Amino acid sequence: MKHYNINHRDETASKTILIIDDDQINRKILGKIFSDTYEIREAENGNVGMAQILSNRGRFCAILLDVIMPEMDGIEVLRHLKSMKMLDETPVFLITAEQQVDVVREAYELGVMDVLTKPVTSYVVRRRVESVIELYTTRKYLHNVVESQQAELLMQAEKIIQLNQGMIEALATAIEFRNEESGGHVNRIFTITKYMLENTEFGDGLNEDQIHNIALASIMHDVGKITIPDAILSKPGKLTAEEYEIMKTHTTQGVALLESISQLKDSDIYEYACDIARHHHERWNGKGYPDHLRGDEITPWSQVVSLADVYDALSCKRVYKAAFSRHKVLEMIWAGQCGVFNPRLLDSFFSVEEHLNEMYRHLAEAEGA
Amino acid sequence: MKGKEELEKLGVDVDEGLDRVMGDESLYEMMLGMFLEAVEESSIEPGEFDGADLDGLIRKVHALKGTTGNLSLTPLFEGYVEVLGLLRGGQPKEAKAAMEKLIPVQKEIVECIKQNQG
Repeated sequence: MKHYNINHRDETASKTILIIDDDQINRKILGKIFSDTYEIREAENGNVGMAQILSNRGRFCAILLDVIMPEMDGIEVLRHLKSMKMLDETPVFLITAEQQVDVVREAYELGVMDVLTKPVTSYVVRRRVESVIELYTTRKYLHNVVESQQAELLMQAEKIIQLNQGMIEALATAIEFRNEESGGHVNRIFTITKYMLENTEFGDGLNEDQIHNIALASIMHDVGKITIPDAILSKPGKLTAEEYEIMKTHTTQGVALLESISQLKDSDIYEYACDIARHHHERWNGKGYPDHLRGDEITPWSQVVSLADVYDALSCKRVYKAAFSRHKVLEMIWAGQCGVFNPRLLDSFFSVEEHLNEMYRHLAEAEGA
Repeated sequence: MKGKEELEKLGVDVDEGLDRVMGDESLYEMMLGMFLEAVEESSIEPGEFDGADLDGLIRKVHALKGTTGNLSLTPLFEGYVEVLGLLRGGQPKEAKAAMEKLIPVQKEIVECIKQNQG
């Protein structure tokens, strides 16, 4: 984090004062008071003054404004500046010969910084104007500092989010490598889950952030496989009943692992991640595991991830099997050969499968490249 | 500054005028020259107080009041303040009388400035 000095003088701050007065002598006197420190610009009436202000927006550190002038008087200039919200940027001082109460009140109501009377007293004018210029300069500097710090904090927050996401992906990918897969599986599960939630009724009621969090949580569905021995996880053939029982524990072990990461508990994805890790092998008819949930006892996102997992497992080569053709994959899912899914989920899935297949083709090409 | 004492004898507060321009004598002298031009360009005749263009007259008096005030030509400044107040108060006759008293004072100060200008 940068350190900022609030006493710092901003050397880039404007050092130009605009004097708007129809009387040349007044302009000379006011100019003389500030000419040793500031650049002076002059305008002989309100029209010329407004033109200078508009063509040099942000350039003037103060405007000294006469009241009675031909073409456009000082109050009219103030009205224009107020309507353009420029009185917050640049302090305006009304220089008036007569203390007409109505004029002074209107000027203050419009937002003039101060009213100075003519004939001016040089040191009074200088002191009052310079104090305000310094105040505005400091305020502008602090405003810039706050903006810069906010941008820095946002950038850091973004980095933390990216780091968290990167670590989650790294963890999930590391498990896949143990399983002799390339890491593509978790990417595909992420993509299918997100697409189905965004484009089917299974995402109804979920906002953009929630869908992103569920998709991110989906990549940790198999995190519990880290506890499964290599001999079982990488076994090329069919598992024995005993081995299968051990394999099934990756769901509960996954939740235990996620619960042990205390930092993850504060994350928006935690609840989704635990639910998906535990229930992505549940089935609509209650014949899944580990809790034998049935029907709508299984959350919509866990249902989506379980189907995405099956679709990807069948479509790709695994250590224990070759990849099936698209036709075969769809036939097996439809026939319930990998467990029974919610009929509405199947309808939703088949309505977007064409797109998912297209996506697979692109992902395969990208991975191949 | 040349002619300072003569101006002070006529009631001009030269030090205050100089202070207003941060002690810059040449600038003050230049502005005295600008005052002479202003008096010539906007000379005010007593007859104007009887005319119809009182707004135009008020503008001229207002301008001269400002100039004399800036230069601390105090007797003139005070005189123009009075004339302007009377005009704005709808008393042109009284304003004319005040102006008639002011004209010789102004003439004296104008002559003094002219004599001391290079």
